[in-house]
Amino acid sequence: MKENNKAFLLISEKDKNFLKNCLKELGYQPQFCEKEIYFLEKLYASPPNLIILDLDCNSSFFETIKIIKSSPIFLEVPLIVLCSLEKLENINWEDINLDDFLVRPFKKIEFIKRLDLAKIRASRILDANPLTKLPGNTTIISKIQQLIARNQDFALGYVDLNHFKAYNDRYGFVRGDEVIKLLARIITNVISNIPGETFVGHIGGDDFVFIVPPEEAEKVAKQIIEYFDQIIPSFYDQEDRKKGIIISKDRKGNLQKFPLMTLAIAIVRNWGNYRLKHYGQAIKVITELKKWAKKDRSKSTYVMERRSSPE
Amino acid sequence: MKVCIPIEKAQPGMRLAEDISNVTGMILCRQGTILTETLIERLKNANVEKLIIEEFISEEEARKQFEEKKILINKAFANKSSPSMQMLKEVFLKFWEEKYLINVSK
Amino acid sequence: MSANEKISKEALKEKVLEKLPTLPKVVQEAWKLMERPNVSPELISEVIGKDITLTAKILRLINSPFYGFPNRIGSLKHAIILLGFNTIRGLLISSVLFGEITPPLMRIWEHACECATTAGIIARQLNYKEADEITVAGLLHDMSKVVLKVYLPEIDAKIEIVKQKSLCLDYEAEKEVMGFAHDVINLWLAEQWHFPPSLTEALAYHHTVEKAKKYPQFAAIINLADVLIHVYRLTPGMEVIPEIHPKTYEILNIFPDFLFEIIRTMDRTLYNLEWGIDERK
Repeated sequence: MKENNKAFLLISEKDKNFLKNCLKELGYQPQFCEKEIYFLEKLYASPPNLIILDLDCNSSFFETIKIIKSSPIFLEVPLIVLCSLEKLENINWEDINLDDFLVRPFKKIEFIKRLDLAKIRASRILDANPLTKLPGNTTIISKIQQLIARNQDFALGYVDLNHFKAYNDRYGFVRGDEVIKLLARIITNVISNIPGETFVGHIGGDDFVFIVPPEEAEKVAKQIIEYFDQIIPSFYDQEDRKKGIIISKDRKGNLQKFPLMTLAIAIVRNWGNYRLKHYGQAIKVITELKKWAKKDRSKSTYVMERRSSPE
Repeated sequence: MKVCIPIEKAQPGMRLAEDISNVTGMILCRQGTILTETLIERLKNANVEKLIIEEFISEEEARKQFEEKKILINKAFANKSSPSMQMLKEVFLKFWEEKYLINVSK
Repeated sequence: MSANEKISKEALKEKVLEKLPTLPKVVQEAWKLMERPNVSPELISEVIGKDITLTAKILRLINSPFYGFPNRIGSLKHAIILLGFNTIRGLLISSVLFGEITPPLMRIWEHACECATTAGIIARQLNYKEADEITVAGLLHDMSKVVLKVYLPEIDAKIEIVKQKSLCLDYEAEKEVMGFAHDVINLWLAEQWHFPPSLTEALAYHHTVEKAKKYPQFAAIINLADVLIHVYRLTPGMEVIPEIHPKTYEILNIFPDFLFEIIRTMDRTLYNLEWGIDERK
């Protein structure tokens, strides 16, 4: 039994005791919430390992489900919906991103077994990066391939951190992980405000990719850099922050001064006359561009190929 | 002497003592502008709620208000004998004096 | 339950923020602002930064271990960037419910905003880069008073009686009734919510600046801002002001001319604040 194994339920009085008992059997600590309006806030403040929503008690929480499942943080948290048979007919699975449903009247054994399965199934999303919960290489590659095959216009951005190793050496990997999570959040939030086809992936370590419509790429890069540069000083200790440098060993083992971390962003666009044929090609171009972005690592920089242009 | 008034109390002829800006920082009206009927309407439509205007008060009134402030300060600092508090008291007295009596000959 | 048991660390758990009221005007303005395309987090933080409850909720949220970097974020603007607009909207929606801001609460809100503004002014005059965080500290330095009023009204009533009778500060009356004051409750809450140490020290030690070991300047600025506002807003009948801590001027390197400039700037700036000034008389 996990410590702090919380289950969150948005539910009316109906079946409350039944659910309480089943959940306790499975080792969950059930927390009930009667009004939808407090639900989101409680959810974020005290994230559970399982979410159960009762369709019969509240018909207007499709918005809630969308918000919950749009956050990579809740990717692994099973979301189960309870409803009556009549309501079931009107549900369109394309519209709501949930993991399983249970129909009234409930049978105890079925209930328990389904919840158990949902938990296991959720943790099978192996491709997600354990630190940031963002999709990893397999998904990233298939996404790029998909867009190329559809001949869709898109921009592919590659983000990495300068001087990350020095930071890790100075402050330890726990704080290093915090910085990775910070960067993941910044990229995710900036992209979430962009209309159209978007995607964020975490290749591993301090390397991220994002996909946005080509006309948005420059704005996105600028904003990620702006936000990162603003916030990253708080992740350094007072003295280092004031000096603007940290002292750490370089790859050869010599003590060196390193500036505060900065970003290098490389962008390639599938746009107008410039068409990518294969994800490998995209990666090749990005790798080249990255060298340019890393020429001056004391500043956050983005570099975009200039071959593409709108038709 | 500058005074803050709600827009409902604005009258033509009053003079703005400060720039008026909207929530995004854009300046709508400059310091020194004399208000007119039209201008007041436009400001109302731009959802301006308060204005800082120049109020001309008599020398007598200015001295009276300054004396009132002095009494308040003296009472509040009566049992505050630390050097820090004494310094603060002096500075505040100087501040209120400047604010009320700056246009008044001593 | 004895008074002490009721207000123990354990009693004042996470739930505390859920039932605190929010200024409807702030929620409305923030909501409207967020409907604009490309609105900056800075602008949103300026609006939300006028409400104690929302600001505390946002900072508590971003510093929760769940997001992965507890004890890091003390700036409201940064918190908004990192939480994202959807989450902020979610908080706005759920905050409209709890009760009105009654006149006694309103006074706390007004004082909080004025302190926040003044703290920001002092920080900028001193060229501190963390003016954002210091402003937040100014806003939240009396948050425990709100908690007392809403959650422990009987104890709060006793404190009010002592205040009226002996014409003293909140701080002294609280100590008499509870044995400790709002700054201690601030410390509990700040630690529980994983606030960054700079913010925590400012909230916990603005009356006892000598206890701020890591960020004495933060505590000192809030101490100074608090006193400045009290003196600036003196009214007949309530001539009680808190003390400037003996170490404050030294820590901040303050001289009379500098103080004068700060008060001048404070005077100019507060006119432009929401709360309409001279009309309140």
